[in-house]
Amino acid sequence: MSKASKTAPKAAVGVRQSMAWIHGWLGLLAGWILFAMFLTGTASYFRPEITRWMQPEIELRPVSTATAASTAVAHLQKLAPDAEQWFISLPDARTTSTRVFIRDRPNPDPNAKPAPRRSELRLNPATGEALSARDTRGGEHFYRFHFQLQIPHPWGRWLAGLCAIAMLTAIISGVITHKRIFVDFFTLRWSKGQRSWLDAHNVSAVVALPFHAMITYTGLITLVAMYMPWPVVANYKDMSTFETAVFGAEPDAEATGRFAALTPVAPLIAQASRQWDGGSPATMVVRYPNDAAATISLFQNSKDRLNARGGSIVFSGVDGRQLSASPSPGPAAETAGVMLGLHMGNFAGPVLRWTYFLLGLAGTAMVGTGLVLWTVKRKRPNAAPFFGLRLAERLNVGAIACLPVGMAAYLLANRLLPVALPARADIEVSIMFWTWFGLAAVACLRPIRRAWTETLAIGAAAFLALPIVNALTTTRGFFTSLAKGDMLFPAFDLAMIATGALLAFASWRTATPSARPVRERAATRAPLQGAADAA
Amino acid sequence: MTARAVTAMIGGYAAAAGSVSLAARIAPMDRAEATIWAMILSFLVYAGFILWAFHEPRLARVAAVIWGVAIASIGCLWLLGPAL
Amino acid sequence: MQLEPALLSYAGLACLALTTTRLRRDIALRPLPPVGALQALAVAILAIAAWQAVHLFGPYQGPVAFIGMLAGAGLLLVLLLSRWPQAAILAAIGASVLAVLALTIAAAP
Repeated sequence: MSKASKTAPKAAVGVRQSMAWIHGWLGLLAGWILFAMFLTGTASYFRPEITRWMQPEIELRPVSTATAASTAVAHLQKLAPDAEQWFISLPDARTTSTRVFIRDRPNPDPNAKPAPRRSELRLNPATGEALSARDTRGGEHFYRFHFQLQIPHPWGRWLAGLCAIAMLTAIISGVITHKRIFVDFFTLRWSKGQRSWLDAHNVSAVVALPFHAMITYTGLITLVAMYMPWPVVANYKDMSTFETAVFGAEPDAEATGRFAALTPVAPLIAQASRQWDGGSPATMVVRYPNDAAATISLFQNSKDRLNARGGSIVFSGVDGRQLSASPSPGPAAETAGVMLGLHMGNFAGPVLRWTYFLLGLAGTAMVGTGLVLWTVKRKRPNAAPFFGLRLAERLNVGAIACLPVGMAAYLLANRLLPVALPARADIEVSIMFWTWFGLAAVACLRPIRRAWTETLAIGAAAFLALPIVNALTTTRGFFTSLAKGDMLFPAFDLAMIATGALLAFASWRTATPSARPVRERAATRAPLQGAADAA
Repeated sequence: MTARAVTAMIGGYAAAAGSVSLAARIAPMDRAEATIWAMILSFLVYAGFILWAFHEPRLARVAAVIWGVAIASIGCLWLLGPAL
Repeated sequence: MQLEPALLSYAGLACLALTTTRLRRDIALRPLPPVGALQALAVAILAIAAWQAVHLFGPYQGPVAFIGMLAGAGLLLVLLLSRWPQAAILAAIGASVLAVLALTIAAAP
């Protein structure tokens, strides 16, 4: 914007034209993946809630962090007193169960086969007993998908990064291109074909521009160590030297082999909390439990703090003495931590979390309207669409209308598959992708207008079915939960109904030709604006 | 067009990585802080190179500047070696 | 209730929307306050919204909350304006009344 206005008029036109070109093409090529990243990323703001909804067997009351830590340690003492490390993820108000992971000591015999990796366990934080529930990836699946795209490591992350940098350039070039965006701030006109799509794209982009710019840039920062390790390479001999300089040294003493009883953990948590001004630990790592060299590390959680990188403290596991603590971050480390925190939104309470969710939907709508705008712009009233345009139209249906159906199918599968089915979690995930891509393929057989209407209608039906299926297959239906004072399940039901209603509205809009004839009769009157995208 | 796109995406990445790393290597400040600032700002530099690569009409100039910056900065870094 | 900044942002942005030529021409509400007065009012309301955000969410999360809620309220306002312009403006009056009520209750001992 400023660049365009400062240069001479002729040059300014050039800048605007070249930026418009970049904006259109980069936006289109990265758009389909970006749409999926935005939508599943937005859903991930409720990652623990989705996981809890997907394991309705687990109903836990929150307990104090110290209690949860003590019960987990007691359980692990019975299960694996000689482990190399215990990783304990402590519960909070949103993630209600304790998660533990055991790493066994390597077998001293070098020829022995390595012991199979133990899987993560879930514990009841009040009692320390292992919880059993249906096998599912829960909200973790949407979260992982939004930056790994279900593509083998590391390619999924690289592709996501490429799309994110395309998004960043699209945002900058978009701002330079649309000199009038801030003038048209309040303008959204319906049923005017291309004009409406441009309005919707502008509004969803401009009104939430700080969010879009922030989420794109901070998204790149979350994986900066992978995408841009070169400044570290230039300065340090290896990555771990750098990490030690920034985050403090990890305990590395070897086990002595002498037995020493593990110190109680509750006092350590109280001491850490005092040092963190009332903060509490999210993770506890016990190294060489019951050995004279045992250490207990506590890592601060990012609740209520913008900086997602909390401090860490290492205690002796024998007498509870503090051995070391992470250095306090400098301005750059603080900035990076805050960027991470802004992206993930873990600091946000319910009101800010919903604000994040709403703005995430706006981002999804911005990408979706941009994709549709690209096709609407190129459609000529009396000419058959060229191949690229037809392809773009089909991919739009596949991304915008079919992905929500896939997500609903994932949730429905969670309720409808038998609870004890082997490999259940993987089947749920495959059902999401088979539904998504299968429906996108089937939709190619239908005329484009009908394809929009029908896929959106299927999405609406799938989301509206969720509360009913939930009530029939679990004991936590809308009214039962409400009567028990459990707000999570009713809120989930309402969100599903709202999503279904939005998709139904979008479907209805695509089915009803506009009453007023518009300049471009042939323009696809696809789902108007964010409605379609808000799954 | 292919040459331009490759220069923008790959050359731009190399130029951005090289220039921010060189800046982090020679900046007169704490090593860790300089490194993190360079990592944080690298994507802005990369985006700038991409936009300019598609904006500038003369492809030869685009290629010369972007690959030049990349080779020069990475060459300097190679000569300097890691600080710590 | 933590929603005051959002309600006030909505009201402030509605004032700004009423200064645009298109809306002044299309909307059936009369009489419309002069543009200058609306702009001043908008600035005042948005300043209170920002202050409330910092007050409720603290010096670090406050600015984040303000920008986020401003954007969220803006989206809602534009959507409502596009379909039911009169109702959208009337809702702004309702939002400011609600916000003032909430502020009064919060201020009461």
